[in-house]
Amino acid sequence: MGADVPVHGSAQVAQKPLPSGVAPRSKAGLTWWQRVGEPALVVLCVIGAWELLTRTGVLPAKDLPPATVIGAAFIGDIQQSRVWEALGATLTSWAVGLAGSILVGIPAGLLLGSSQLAYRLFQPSLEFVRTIPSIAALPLLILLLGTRGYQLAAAMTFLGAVWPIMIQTMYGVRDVDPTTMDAGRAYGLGPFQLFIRIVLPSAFPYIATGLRLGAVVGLLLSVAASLIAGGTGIGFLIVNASFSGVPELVYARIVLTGIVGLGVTLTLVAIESRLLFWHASRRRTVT
Amino acid sequence: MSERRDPIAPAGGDVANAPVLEVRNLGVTYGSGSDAVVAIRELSFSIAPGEFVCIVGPSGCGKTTLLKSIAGLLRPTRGDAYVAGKRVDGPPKDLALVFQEYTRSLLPWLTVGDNVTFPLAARKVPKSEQLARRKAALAQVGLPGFDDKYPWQLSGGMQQRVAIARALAYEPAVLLMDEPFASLDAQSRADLEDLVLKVQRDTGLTVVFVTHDIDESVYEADRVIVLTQRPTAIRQILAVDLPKPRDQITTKALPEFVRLRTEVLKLIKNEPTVD
Amino acid sequence: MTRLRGIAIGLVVPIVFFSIWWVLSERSTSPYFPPLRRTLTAFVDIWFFARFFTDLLPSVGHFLSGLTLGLAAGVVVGTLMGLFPRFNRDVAPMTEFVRAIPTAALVPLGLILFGTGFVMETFLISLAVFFPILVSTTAGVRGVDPVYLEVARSYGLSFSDRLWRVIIPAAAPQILAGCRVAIAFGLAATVIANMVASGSGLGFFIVDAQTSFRLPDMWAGLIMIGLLGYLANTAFVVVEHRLLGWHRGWRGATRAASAA
Repeated sequence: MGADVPVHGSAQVAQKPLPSGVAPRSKAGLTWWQRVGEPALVVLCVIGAWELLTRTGVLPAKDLPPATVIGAAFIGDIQQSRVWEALGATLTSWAVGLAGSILVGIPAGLLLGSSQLAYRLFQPSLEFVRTIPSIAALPLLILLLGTRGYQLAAAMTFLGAVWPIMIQTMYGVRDVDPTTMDAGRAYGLGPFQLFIRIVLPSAFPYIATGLRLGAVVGLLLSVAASLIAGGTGIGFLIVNASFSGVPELVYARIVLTGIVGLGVTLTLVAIESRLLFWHASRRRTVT
Repeated sequence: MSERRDPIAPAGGDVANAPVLEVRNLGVTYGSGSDAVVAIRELSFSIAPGEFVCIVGPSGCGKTTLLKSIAGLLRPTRGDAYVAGKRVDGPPKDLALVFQEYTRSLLPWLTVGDNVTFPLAARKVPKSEQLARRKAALAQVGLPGFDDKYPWQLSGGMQQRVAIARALAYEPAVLLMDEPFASLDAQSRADLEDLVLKVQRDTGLTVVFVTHDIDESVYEADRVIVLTQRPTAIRQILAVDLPKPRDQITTKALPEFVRLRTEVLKLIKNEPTVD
Repeated sequence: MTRLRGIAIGLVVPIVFFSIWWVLSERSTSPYFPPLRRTLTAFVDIWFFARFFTDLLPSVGHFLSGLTLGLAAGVVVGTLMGLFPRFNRDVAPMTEFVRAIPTAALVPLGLILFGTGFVMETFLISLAVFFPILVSTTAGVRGVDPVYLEVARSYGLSFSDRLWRVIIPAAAPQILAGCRVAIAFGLAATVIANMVASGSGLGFFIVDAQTSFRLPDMWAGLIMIGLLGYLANTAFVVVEHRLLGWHRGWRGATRAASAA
């Protein structure tokens, strides 16, 4: 399909991601100013407008501190060790929970995807389970694990991440191209070889998507756990600042959480696109 | 071999027949500066009402670029195109375009009937007239009663028939076709070639047909415009005086057909002609 | 027939699961895992009577209003970002940043700005819904097949006709895929908002039941949340089925064509 679609000069069309076979012009066609300069200027303008509106009292400065005040609070805050300890706690729980969900989710997904019977038995239930917000399990986990240690946030991360990883893996295994499998069989690969050389690599884009989704949802739940249940994470620090009535500190810590979240997302996307260079155009999400 | 008539001028040569499509000194350059690629150097030709003109050229020449300039989808760098006497500045109202990519030029969320009428609906043509035109157009392409099917339920040849029906229902003065049958199997292709000839004969529509298939161009056309490699210019315009109505078997067996296709082939391969 | 069989097979696991739960919990003495029988009794008492108006309805109401608001905003802004690459580039740094902030972390912000109650919860839920819709709409609108756009232009469609007749329908499958994610996010945000900052609602109810050790009630709340998620998803699938009947057929046809 679309084997020799010609590139044509209409600007409106050229900026869309074109189907395969068309030279990508979108990125290369942009100047530095278009890619970085103008967006940065827009961000600065928004921050400037915020500053102006809060300083002049158009927006209530009590609830919305000026950008510079938040900035100062942010800089003051990140020089304190407790913030880093809290971040460390959140990220450790997240990493532990995520590792657990990978260890469980990928093998389970491979199993469910490989067997037609298992797929038909479990797929409807899995689709059901994924619609239940994992956060609802928090009260139960508080009872079982308490609120003090890393375990609660780790368990929440696990609960959030394991489903997308399992389900994506399952769909990935099922979407292996039958022609590729036939080719493998024709060259005399045994079941194990087929699995290692064809099934796993073919399913990998799905697994990667599942990992990325799971990691993001897991972080969300790790933060939510410490925010709601207290304990040691970054969420607790935000609530703490809120209770102490220091709005600029609330904003500063939300910004910090955002930076961490963005860092996690960007890292995962970078890893994914590096591992999937051979497959970038075919990457799909099953949702 | 002496020509029966001047091939550059529109067929018929009637003074009252002002050209329905005219291209004057048209040139297209992509990019600028050192990156500039000259797609079309310079082209001029004109087409009379009711003519069937095929445009052929070596692959990679600016056939599609030329077509998009005429269709108003691409602004030429130099020169102009005129449709029904009006300068092309955006898609002209008197022109309908049939794309090569039939699977992608029909909208998959609309039924066959709605695909035919959506350009009319957008133009606020009254509902009853939309239905009448759609019925007539689908009958003309041999798909009566297919209104409620979805395009993806049809074969490739049938999908391209729907695209032709859409163009016919639009009632254009000029029908532009961009390699319309290039991705069809041989049988559907022959059927559709005959269909287009018949529709053209019945309606007296002006057809401009871009193709890379030399047999197809000679079989269909009153005149064949042969283009050169990039930067594109006109290599030669040939009159095709094969008898009508044409037929896949007898027409293609005529010595004149064979001579013409050989000539076009040589022109495209850039060899000197044996005139 | 095969569909019915598929459903029947799919029901095996839940039935086995609940049977095992019922049998194992029947003689359970652990306060954390009360007998399923007691949980179900509590479920009926709570959700059919006492708490229907005080906790269930407000949560559902907040969820629906937040969902509507977030959906509308996400589709509008996403369409703009998809249509205008320059606008997209200019606002993407900000949307990407706010999107990366976990929903829960925004609860204190909502509290500062709006206090507790309907406005704050709707704000939080609509924000959680907004981003998945924004991302999928932007991608959907940007990814519209250029041939569709050329067809529309060649037939002289006006901008608004192109938008409503071509771009939005072509992007609809992606927008709806985003909806599915958004519904899950919105429901989670509903529960989170209730848990942190509310004196009523489902999330509040299960936290309250937990802290006052009414554990069958907590389980009943958990089941209710699961049920709501299921209902929301089912409603979505029905809507999607009606809107995207063409898409399944089209994808089936193009897949069959590329396999042949």
